[in-house]
Amino acid sequence: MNRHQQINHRQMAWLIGGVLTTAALITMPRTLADLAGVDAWFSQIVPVFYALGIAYLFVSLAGTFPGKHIFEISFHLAGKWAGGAINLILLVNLWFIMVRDTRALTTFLKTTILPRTPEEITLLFFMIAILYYGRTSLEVAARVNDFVFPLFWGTVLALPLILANEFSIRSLQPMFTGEVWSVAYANMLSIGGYGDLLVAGAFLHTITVTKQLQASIRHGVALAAFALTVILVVDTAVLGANIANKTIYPSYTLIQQINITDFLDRMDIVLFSLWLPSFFLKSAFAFLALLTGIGSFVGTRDCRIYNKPLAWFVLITTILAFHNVSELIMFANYSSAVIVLAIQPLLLLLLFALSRAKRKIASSNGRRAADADDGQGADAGDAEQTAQDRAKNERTERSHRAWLKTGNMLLAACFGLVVAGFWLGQDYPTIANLVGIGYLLCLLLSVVATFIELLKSSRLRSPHPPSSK
Amino acid sequence: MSHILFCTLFIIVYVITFFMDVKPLKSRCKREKGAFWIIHAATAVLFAPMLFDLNVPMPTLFFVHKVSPWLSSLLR
Repeated sequence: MNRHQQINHRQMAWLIGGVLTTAALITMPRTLADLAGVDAWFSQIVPVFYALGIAYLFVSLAGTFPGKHIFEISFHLAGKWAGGAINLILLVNLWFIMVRDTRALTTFLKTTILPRTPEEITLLFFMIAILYYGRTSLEVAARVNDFVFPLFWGTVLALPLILANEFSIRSLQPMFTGEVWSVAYANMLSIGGYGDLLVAGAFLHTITVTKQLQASIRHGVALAAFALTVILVVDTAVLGANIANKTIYPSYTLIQQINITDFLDRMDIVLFSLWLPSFFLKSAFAFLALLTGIGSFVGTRDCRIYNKPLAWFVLITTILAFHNVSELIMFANYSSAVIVLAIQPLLLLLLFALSRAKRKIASSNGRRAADADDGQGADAGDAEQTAQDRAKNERTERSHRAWLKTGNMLLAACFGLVVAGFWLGQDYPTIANLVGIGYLLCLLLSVVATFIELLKSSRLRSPHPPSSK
Repeated sequence: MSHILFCTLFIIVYVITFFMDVKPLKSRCKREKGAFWIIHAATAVLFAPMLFDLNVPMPTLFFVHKVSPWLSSLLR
């Protein structure tokens, strides 16, 4: 692995989009349909706010320690022992993510596409392929994701069109007539998938401009939320909530329904050929995050030496982790949320508090030093040029902030619409339908707003030079 | 049969990749060597009972058998 890894903010956004979408796609729709029925597609809005909260903590930590990832920041803030303990817990969380997703994919392949191939053999070849990414760097995986993610996201968005002949709006109605708590619980369980944002924490050092990092995480989260909502809408509209909660893999059953004329039958093979690389890359990113975490314990970013042993460790533990598919589903759909909520907010808030305290001490020391150096300021020769640059930067920053607020307002509107839907939906079905359309529209517009925010952030410069460490 | 096939394949691949790492390991510092051996030891310790088809108590199984049923019953 290269010591000075760098990916751009768009690559980071697509990385996060892919990681979060694939986390929930295989097994989650079943439980969401089971809990919330026809309202299952409103189950992504609370996790979006959770992910934005985690993004804020990441950005704040990355702003204080530019060029460092979450494991290095943890060691820096909490010291050798406490930092080591925090990192160990984060590594366990990453291992849970890796084991869950790798096993979900191979179990899915075993049950649907490769029924005669032993699952262990599929896993062995899967890990051999992961080894390739482990011995290169994040940049390679991110470049592959550049090809894979647009295809994945594009085909997910094309699903309503491809399945138009099977689509029944009536299956989505009546909206907002179920229990409000059911949707709240579905939202809570969905947080388990969005907790995979921790993977991005291991790559904080790859983007040195914090505003770009913030915009990329926000855009990635919006992409994932919209894609998952579309899948849940199509799931409910095509299969109906009752069938969706009885099939093990509703997304697979959904894709099997594609019949574009008599000639284009069995589109599931084509579609899964396009989707599987995204699922594979998700495991590759989690593996790279694990390697980065282990490297932080020995103080290196060159983790090639652990690549093979770690791959074999993950392989053996993935086989031992679950005995059958029902155990995997129980873990992925219920325990993931508990693990995420028990680990991430607490540890990241602790690191955030420590970084704030450290920053306060540093700023008071800095003020004393500035008082001592008073009168020996910067050379005024380039003052005019600097003023022009500053004015330009301020304009870009204002525009960036406006789009950030727009994105936030659209996401808040989504939440408000769900509340309004439950408030008015039972008495006024037409209003409930309009609220549903408004929710989808606001979610789509939030993808657009965060994309423009991402574009604006690319013109912002780093306040800190990239760290050599 | 598939279990024996997997175990045989795994041992072959594991030994080959282990010997591939021996040379680059020499140039690494003590801590890196330590981490390398710890991961290898953990893998071997977990693989041994698997070879004899014995159950290993994994942390995921605690969540599967205790946490998930508790949460599932709570939400319904």
